[in-house]
Amino acid sequence: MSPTALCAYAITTDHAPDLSGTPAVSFEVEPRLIAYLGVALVVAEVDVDRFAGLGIEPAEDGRLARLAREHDAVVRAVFRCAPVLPLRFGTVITDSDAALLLLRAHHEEARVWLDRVQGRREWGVRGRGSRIDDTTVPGEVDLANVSGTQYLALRRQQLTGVEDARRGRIAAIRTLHGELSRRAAESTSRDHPGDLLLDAAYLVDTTAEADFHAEVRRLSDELGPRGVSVEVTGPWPPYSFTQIEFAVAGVVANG
Amino acid sequence: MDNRPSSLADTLERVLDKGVVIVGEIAINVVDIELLTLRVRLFISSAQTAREMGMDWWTNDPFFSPNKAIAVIGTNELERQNTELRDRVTALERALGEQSAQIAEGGRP
Repeated sequence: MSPTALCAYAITTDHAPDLSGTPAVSFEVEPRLIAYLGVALVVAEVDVDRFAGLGIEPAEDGRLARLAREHDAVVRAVFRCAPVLPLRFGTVITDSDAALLLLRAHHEEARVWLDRVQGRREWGVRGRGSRIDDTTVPGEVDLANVSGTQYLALRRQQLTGVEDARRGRIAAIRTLHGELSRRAAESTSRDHPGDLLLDAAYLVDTTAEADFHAEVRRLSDELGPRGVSVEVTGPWPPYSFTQIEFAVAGVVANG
Repeated sequence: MDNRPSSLADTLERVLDKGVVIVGEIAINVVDIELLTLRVRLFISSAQTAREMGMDWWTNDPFFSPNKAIAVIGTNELERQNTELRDRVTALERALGEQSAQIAEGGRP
């Protein structure tokens, strides 16, 4: 016996088409809408057990990978035709009464957020730097014909070269982030460990996308010679711009 | 320009880490998202993934992989000794061959 509950995927408007019977959409779950005063919750009945003991496996076809892709696919199916506020993966609520309780408590707030993401898509941009090699900065020198002082001067020149290259990159990445942010409705960037110089997301008006991408291309061409490669992902539903918490007080009365 | 399918790492990063969070008694905690996110991050940033992306320069850098470097030095040292010994054996064999030839010549009546 496995208990069932409602897995919730996204909040959308009540104009969103009903997903049941959409031919392009094939999931193990059957998502449907629970609507209330202009907003709707996208839910599907699931066995709670399907989320039990999820771990990270390296395989693309692992259970977590499959469920995460399914979550994203349901969100995207709605996102194709209506604004969405994606819910975090693994949001499971007790039943449709719980869904109504949530919508009743937060429908106004949800509408404000839906307006904010309406007609916009999220794009991810990453800047990755190759290693700046200090031996390659100045040309090869025959050390046999170099005095100690000359050697130290050369060494300093090399190190300054590396430092200059590093600073140049950081400045260029800042320019990239600044220019892209200017073309986006909202932007956010994360701390970047290691060789990641930029890990940012931009919420872009669909009407401004051509300009946005032209700018990405232009600036990544400039970054190329500095050893920085730029990669773009998307379009995404506005995951990075809906980091909100909806608290619902009250217990659902059920039998 | 970007119609390539999104990578699993990108999808996981977004669905696990971002989006609306619902808290309260209506929500059932079926997944320990924090733990899962942490594991995913560790996994993604693991050396294995990095290597797949071609960022494996440190594996041959003695500073980052001292054991490997020592192993390399060890192998080289063995090779050197091996070659040296082989050369000495060859030299000795040659000397011995010449000597026995001389003995054979000298000993002929």
